Amino acid sequence: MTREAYHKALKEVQDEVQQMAVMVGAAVKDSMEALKSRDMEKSKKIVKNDIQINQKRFDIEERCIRLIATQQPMAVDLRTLAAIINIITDLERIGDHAEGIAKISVAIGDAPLVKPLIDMPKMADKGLSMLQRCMKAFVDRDIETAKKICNEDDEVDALYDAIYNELVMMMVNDPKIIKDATYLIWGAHNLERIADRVTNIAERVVYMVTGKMEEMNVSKY
Amino acid sequence: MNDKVKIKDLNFYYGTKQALKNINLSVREKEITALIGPSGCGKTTFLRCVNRMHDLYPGNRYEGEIILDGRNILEKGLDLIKLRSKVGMVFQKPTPFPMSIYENVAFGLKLMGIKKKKEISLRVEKALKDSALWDEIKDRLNEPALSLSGGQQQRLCIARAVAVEPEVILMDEPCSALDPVATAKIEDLMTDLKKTYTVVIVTHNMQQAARVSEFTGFFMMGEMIEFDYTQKIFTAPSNKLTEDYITGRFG
Amino acid sequence: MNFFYLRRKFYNLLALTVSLLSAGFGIFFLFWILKDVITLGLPALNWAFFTELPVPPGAEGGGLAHAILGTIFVTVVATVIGVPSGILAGTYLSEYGRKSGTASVVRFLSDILVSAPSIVIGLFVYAILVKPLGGFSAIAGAVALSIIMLPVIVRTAEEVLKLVPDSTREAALALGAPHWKVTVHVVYRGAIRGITTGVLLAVARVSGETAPLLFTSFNNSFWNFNVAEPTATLTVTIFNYALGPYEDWHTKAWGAALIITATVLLVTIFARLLVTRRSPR
Repeated sequence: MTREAYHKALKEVQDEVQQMAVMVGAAVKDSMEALKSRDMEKSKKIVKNDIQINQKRFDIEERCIRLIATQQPMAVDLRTLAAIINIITDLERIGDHAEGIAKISVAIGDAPLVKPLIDMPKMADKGLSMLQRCMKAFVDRDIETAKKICNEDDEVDALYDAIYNELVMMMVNDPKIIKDATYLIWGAHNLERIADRVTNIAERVVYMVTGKMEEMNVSKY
Repeated sequence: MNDKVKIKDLNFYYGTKQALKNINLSVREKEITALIGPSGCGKTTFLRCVNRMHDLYPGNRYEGEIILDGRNILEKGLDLIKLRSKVGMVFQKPTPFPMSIYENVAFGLKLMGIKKKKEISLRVEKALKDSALWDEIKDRLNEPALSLSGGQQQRLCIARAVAVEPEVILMDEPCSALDPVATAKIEDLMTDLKKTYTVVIVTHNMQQAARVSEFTGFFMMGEMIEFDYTQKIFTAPSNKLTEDYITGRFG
Repeated sequence: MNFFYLRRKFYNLLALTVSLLSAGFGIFFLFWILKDVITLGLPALNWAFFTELPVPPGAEGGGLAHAILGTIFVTVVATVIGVPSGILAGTYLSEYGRKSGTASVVRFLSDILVSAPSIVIGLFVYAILVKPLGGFSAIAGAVALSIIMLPVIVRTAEEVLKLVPDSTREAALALGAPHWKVTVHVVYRGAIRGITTGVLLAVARVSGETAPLLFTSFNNSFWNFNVAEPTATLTVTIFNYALGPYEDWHTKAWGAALIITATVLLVTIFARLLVTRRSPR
């Protein structure tokens, strides 16, 4: 095995990406919990912590660029780095969605939620499960799993539809709740976008392994 | 980390022709420092100042200081033999001596005055192991060194330089005569060597500089244009000339 | 178009024929000489030829043992004198003098010495050794031969040493080796085969020399083991016997010629083998 230092550096970048995915996943999970438990402090902390996720993304991006500049990666190594640069962009955006949910929680403030959270946690769980499996597929170079994940986006879309319709009906019946119900729609929308981002990541995993760039699942939204 | 070699205002002349102009740089201990630049830019000339190789030919003249471990090695009356046992060199083309593989490595050890056969053979073995050559040639130590492949010959030359345990190893385009696989092996070897030695490498191949080195100096027309961390030089050089060179806009 | 092509082909054929004929012409004489030397020399060779002294003029039998010994002796002494000094001078030119003025002068003089007629060298030794010492001697012959050998060895040694790349010298110096050690341990080892070849060719060349021996080692009809005494050699014996009136002398001269020729041929072939064995590397 030659070029050990270089391959070690490549591996390290991958590990960093995984770490970032863990950070992002935790942010999503926490933001939903904070919304549910009406924990203002926790929500504010999530908003603040998004900076760390952003910083992580810059760090990884810089490492990738440095490796490209100094090690002349070729073929699968080059695809991996190119994929990683895209993946961290999506991860960073997922972090932003978590931040968005936390901000909504703050915006709703002390007001009670217009409806109990049932489908939104389901969406979040689904999205997080997709993210975790997608990151595993990334590490394992498992394109079958990656492709499957893309199809699961439809389930999240369906949940979003249900939430949207329900909230719209509620707003029609009781215009007083329009403001807070809209907040919840935004929150659900953020969750829906998370699943879309995971789909993007899955596409990058496929590209990384096969070298083919293809759209796996066109999101409804 | 300390500076192993400090070069201060170095000027060098081949006769009346000035080949190096006011070079200032510091070589970090136990790191690889790469020197890049277009042909004839003075990088090899610079390298050969550090072990006073220019003294072999008449009419060459140095100005300035090269401080190795606190001592100016350009001063008159310096023991060149001692200097060269402290500063080893690997050349562009493999330069095996016309003798057996074993004797090639033992040559420098004998020069150092080591007489005991046992010690010599132990150190030969260690040097060959350190140069990642041992496994390939341990059964043919008594064959002529010239029977080795080009890449093996170059690693043998590295083993020969390493055997005398110098502190600094100068490499003058050590891979320019080798194929990519042999090159990759030597580059790996360099990464190992930097744990023990301070390495300065001159290379035409700037990708190689990028891959192996921690610091890079860019030379042009006998001047050092820029010296910085390798990753800085190859991602965001400060000097326009450096940028033009590494992006292939000239040179 | 076709005409030009044909013309070119014709000239090509013509040139080829002419060169082949010229080469054949040279080789023809070489083989003719070899054939004569062998057919006329072989009958002379017998046990007595190698072991006995000559019998009085006109009588049959006897041998040239003293001349064989004399030739070997003179050649060996000449080699002992000429080879070390020649190699050292070559070493100076290649390793130390290089492009210096002294080196160019030495090189120039040595080139002149190569082309000096061997009889002139014989005369020179006669003047500086034979005359002052009051007589012909084996050592004077050896000195004459060594002078002939010297420039050949100087230039071969220089050329062969120069074949060792400078980068090899630099590599040894860069290890901290002093100049003389680089020369002895690295450069000589790289050039040893070439130097041996050069020495063998030079020895082969001088062993066939007659003229410089005529008035240095002269001749002798008996065994000689004293360097200060004249000694017989095969070449001078050929010269004397060939001019003599006796049929047996002529045969003996042919025999001596065969021995010299065969020795020179064998040494040359051996030297060539050394060279070719080096080239694949």
